Amino acid sequence: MWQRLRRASFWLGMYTAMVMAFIIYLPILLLIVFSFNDSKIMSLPWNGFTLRWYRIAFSREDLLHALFNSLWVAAVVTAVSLVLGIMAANGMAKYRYRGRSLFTGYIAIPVVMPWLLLGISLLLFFNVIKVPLSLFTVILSHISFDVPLVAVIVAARLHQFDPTLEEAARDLGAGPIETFRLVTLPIIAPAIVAAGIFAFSWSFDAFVVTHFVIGSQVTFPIWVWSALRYPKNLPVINAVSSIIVVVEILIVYLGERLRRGEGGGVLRSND
Amino acid sequence: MTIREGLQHGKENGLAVEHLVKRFGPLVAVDDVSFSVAPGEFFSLLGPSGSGKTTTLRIIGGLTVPDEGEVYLGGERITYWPPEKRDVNIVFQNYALFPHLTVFENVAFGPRRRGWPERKIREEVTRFLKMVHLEGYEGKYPRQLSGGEKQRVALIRALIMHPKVLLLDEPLGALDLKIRQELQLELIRIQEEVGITFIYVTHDQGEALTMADRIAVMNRGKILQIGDPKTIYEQPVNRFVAHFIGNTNFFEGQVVKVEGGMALVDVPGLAQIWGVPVGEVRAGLPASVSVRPEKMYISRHPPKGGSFNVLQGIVEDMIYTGVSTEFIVRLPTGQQVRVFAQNISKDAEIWKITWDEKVWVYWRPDRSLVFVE
Repeated sequence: MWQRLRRASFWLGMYTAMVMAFIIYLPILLLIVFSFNDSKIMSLPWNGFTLRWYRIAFSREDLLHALFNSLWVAAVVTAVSLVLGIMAANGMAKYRYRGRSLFTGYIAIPVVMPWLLLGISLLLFFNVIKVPLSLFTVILSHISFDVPLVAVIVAARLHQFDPTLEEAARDLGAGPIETFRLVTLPIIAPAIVAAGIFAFSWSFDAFVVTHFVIGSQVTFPIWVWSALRYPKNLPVINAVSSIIVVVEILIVYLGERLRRGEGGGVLRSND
Repeated sequence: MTIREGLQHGKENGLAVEHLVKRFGPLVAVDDVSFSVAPGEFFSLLGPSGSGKTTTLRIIGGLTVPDEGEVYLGGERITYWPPEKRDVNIVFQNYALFPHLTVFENVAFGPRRRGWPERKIREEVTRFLKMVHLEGYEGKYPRQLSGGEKQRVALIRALIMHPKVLLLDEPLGALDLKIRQELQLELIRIQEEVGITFIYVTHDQGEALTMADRIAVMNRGKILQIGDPKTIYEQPVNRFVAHFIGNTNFFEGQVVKVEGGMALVDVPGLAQIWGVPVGEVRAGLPASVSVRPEKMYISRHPPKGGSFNVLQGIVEDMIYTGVSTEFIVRLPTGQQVRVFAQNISKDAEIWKITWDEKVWVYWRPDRSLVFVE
């Protein structure tokens, strides 16, 4: 019985791993492999190893400008979303009051809203209130979906947070702000780091919403979209995308290590 | 000392609470609670769960703001002070140790907020760890500790602040019986050593009787009785206290007459029983008579002479514990009574008593109490 069960779960695991490998990791691997292929078309045969596409990528002003815009927007969006999202999470998880579940739904719904709807409604909104489209409107739009994202992730952690820890800190002489800094923050830090990573990558990746509200400016996904019209750009896009994939994997890995290192290491408060 | 004088005394020197009221929606969790605690006293708030004892403790600690009433400490009115300003510390029921800090940093948390110099912090933390036999635990994290060890850390984390009053919220509630008994003794020793006032919340009447100098029995948000363990046990003010503290046999009936400081109660189908009236006992009122198992005699023969309340029954069970034997006797009404007999000598008459035997159970009238409610 156990034998058979174990064998079944082994095959289920193998199957899952294969499917994941085939539909997610294989395409990414191909992307990276072809970024080193010395050919203008992305297909076999293999024409030899080159770093040419990387050189070109780093010399294209328009690409660098778009990349810089994306990083800058994502950084601002992440910072603002973390502050607002953590505050919202406190309201969702910590206090009991009438209409709490209503508030939770109100905060969480944008996370599951279709991008297209969000983009169209934001475009209409900026038109109505006569705000010219720019990176500023992009930032506002990204905040609108990143705040709920942060709030949901942090609230999940706060739900498990034992409120008597804060009471103990207060009882031992810490004021409300000190209590948050020395007790609450270090304990929910893993969730905040995770939320920050997600918020950053959602903003960095956002194409649909950005497309509606960006006006004449360019972010990286917008640049990729317009560059794809010219097949000669394809290897350069491959090269840049490969860098981004590697950087994102690194960030997630670091985030995971931070999360695991809970209690010791980097996040320990020492004062 | 009258209650008023006591409150005045507590206001000036120790701790006093006056007319505390706290409502949670329609529920009155704390209902007009007043008491005072002298410096150095071991005071226990005892009651079943939901009796308001923890809420009272939280009000003293500043974690809950009362709707009415005042809290005084060392002559100052501290009712609305935030917890970090009060010279009062709490040992939480679930320990509430900071999971991301080591044992050392947990204990040093309070001193650091006070800005003690590093050297003094190191010395004091070491001293307190030693006091509870946790030398060498400085670098451990709470998740690496056993329940008893966590409890000790929580205790000294609060004690190191040298508060005027230490509040303990069922601190031993989550521990096994053996560790609990060990820590009870340790707590008493530490309390005597540091001389800090303890307010100890518990639902375990045995714990309160063993440890406390004085006990306040609470139920449904009210204090029913305040007194030393002996008074609470021997002279309960009502049926609830008599029932909650220790073991008691109750007989339900109706007051026949009150005469010469004693009341006679008719228990239908059983007997007429004499007892000391407690409160407003008048003829005709429904009443319960209480008598503790260790105040009764059991014999195979009726008592000779003397004035006793006497009942007859059949031995249903005997529980031998070494120190004493507990007899369960079934009365003609079907009610069971428990009688303790001390094991003074193995040749005593009572050792001849056996199962299903007809016995007499009797006690002096002044050993039973009559409550009307």
